[in-house]
Amino acid sequence: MFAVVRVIPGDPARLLAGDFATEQIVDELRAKWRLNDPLPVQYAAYIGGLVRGDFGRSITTSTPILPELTERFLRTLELAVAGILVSIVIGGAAGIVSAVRRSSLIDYAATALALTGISTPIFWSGLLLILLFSVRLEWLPAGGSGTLRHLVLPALSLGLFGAGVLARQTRSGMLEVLGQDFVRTARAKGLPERVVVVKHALKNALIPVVTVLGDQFGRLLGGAILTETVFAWPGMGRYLIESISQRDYPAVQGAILVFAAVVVIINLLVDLSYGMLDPRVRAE
Amino acid sequence: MTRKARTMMRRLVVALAAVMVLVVVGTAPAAKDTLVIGMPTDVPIFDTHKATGLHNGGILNQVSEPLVRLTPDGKIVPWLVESWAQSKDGKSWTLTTRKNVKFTDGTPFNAEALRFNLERFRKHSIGKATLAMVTGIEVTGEHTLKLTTEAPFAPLINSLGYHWIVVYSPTAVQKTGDDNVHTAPVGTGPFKFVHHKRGQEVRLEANDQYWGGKPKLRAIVSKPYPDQSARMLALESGDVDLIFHVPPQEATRLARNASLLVSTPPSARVIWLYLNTQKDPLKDKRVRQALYYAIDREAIVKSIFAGTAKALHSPGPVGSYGYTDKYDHYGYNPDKARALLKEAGATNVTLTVHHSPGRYLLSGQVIEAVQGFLKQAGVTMKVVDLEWGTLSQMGAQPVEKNQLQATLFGWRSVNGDIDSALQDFGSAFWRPKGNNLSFWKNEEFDRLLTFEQGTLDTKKRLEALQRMQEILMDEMPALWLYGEPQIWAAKRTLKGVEWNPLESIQSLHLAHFED
Repeated sequence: MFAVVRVIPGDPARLLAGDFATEQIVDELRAKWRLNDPLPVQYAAYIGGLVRGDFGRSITTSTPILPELTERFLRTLELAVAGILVSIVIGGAAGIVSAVRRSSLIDYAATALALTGISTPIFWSGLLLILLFSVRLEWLPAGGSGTLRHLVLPALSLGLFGAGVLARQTRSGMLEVLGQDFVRTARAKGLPERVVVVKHALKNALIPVVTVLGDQFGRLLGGAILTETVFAWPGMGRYLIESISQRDYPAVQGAILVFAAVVVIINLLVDLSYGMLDPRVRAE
Repeated sequence: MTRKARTMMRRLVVALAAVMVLVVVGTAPAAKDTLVIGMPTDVPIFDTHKATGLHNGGILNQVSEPLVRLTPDGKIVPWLVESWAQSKDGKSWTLTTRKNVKFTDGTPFNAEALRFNLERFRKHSIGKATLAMVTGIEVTGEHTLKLTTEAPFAPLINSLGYHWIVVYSPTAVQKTGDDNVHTAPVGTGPFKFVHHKRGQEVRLEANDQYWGGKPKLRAIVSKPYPDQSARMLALESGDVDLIFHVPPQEATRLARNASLLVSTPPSARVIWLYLNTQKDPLKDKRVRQALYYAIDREAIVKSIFAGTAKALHSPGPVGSYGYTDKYDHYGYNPDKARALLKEAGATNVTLTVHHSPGRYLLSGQVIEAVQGFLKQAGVTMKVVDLEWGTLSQMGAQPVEKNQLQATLFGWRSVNGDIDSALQDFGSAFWRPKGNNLSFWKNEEFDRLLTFEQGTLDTKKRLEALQRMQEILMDEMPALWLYGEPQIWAAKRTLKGVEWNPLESIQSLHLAHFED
């Protein structure tokens, strides 16, 4: 990653110095940020800092990276969690209903909606949401952050994107389970349909859904880059984009490091959750 | 069974709706004495001496004020520096600072504070070359300061209007430490710094002791909206009161909205197509002239910019001190272009133009238009799109290694004097030392440049500036295309906002909302 960031053509010092800076100023900046040092030396300095919990300073703002990264990460986490909740509520409900009422009008409608959700680019659905809820109805702010009201639209736009995939996965998982013997047994015992669907069928259909969910979370972090740009949300995605265009090496490295760590942690959580959902996995 | 599933679904929907309603209620309308500004980018760092980026001078300058102000029509208005006088030999300037001005921490503003800040600007700013000619800064009295330059430099006062040359309270800088001024910047401006939440907002509050009178607004909030559609929607929905960087076609649409007002003050940014005069076939000036004949600048301005941009008739910017259009005899004339190319023996000319998409307003469409125009004159134009970081590094190569044949670049005058645009065509300013991507050299031009920067005789200086434009219009080391518009849109009730040619806002102490 360290190398990849530096392979991209472009010079942070020159970008910082502006369109028409003199060579002397560019040289000064390069010396200040030690960009002339051999790469192994720069790498050793960076890793040395990381070990001590020092992410370095941003070349663009000359302020320490870690506090800002933490702040931005929490904002993105907030957005991603809200987005995943929207996905689960909308996608999960749509999936269950279309499985339970297979081949009905509701099923077709849910399928159509899911496909729309999957294939609508986030920046476009985001703009449509702003147009409807902010400009026409004037219910919600068009962008920015700070209150719960600011969270609704970006979370919705992000969540709708994930809801489609989740709905399809839930539907096929449920269909498979609903046809199995134990479900028939449960019905034969005279259990109410709600209990059959939620307690018996859903729980067994969840494993593939959770896998998708984990996968989806990673994609949501990616989607957050677009959502954050459209909704002026001060998160990691925007931070990463802005840092890349400035070739702010330490900032890019820090942001990618955090993204990578999050994906690893999410995968771990997904694996652990299998055990909770299915005792057989735990036994193995 | 399905009935029960339906009940369950219905409950869910009701619960969701209830949450939405809860969230939507519980809102307070924004008070009308707070101005909310939507900008394309965040303020990178709230320390004007360390500022980078393009458009946030207007926000920074509400706290830390410049010495003099430039108006869009190229005039200089005294601000923290009240008056100035040049010595007989032209090598020194005495600046008199405004009296009874205090920083918001109570520290008096005087010549010593000004000296401290000029030194700080020269230490940190990436724009420090603006004052490179200054060799000495000396406090000569409580309110007088002497600047010495190596050789006479006529546009010095214009240069002091650069909106990154500002003053901060020396006491406050010592208190926070030079590295941390951005955490608690203290200036003389009409507004005081409250906080800067990175990527989110900058908040300023009124400085009731402001030397220019109590500001009418109580607070200013600036928020970054990086997506231009979202930025416009934020204005239309009423979230923000003023936005910058409206796309020209959208400006027409916004202007139809009775509650909004679109403003297009002149901008100091000009767009040129640099021609590398060391590469064939551009070595021949007839080829360069032919290219200029072939391009219909007026059509570009009209159809791509909906009339908001200005065609250039010299390097520009239009309206800068010394600008003249009288040497432009290049009307749009593809026949003449073909004839000149034929005369120069340049048939089957291929021109490779480098360009960075998204860097300048609508430059992609401009490039396509230029390509079409050149085709009509028999010139094949290839376009190489490069990301800005990559292109700027290619551009920085010295002549023997520079691969750019032609490049679309934007250039911005920082001091409202055409000298700053012309200077880049001096042969001492070839890349990488200066910004001359044309690698063009003309002895008479070089001589005139030295003369006009040194002379005290304004009449002769003006004549030199005009002659230099005449030479450039004949030699065409670059094709001067157009001046970019700066397009702002605001609620119609917002009054008292004035602009600066450097794409920023002047002091907002008179701004207010009308009912």
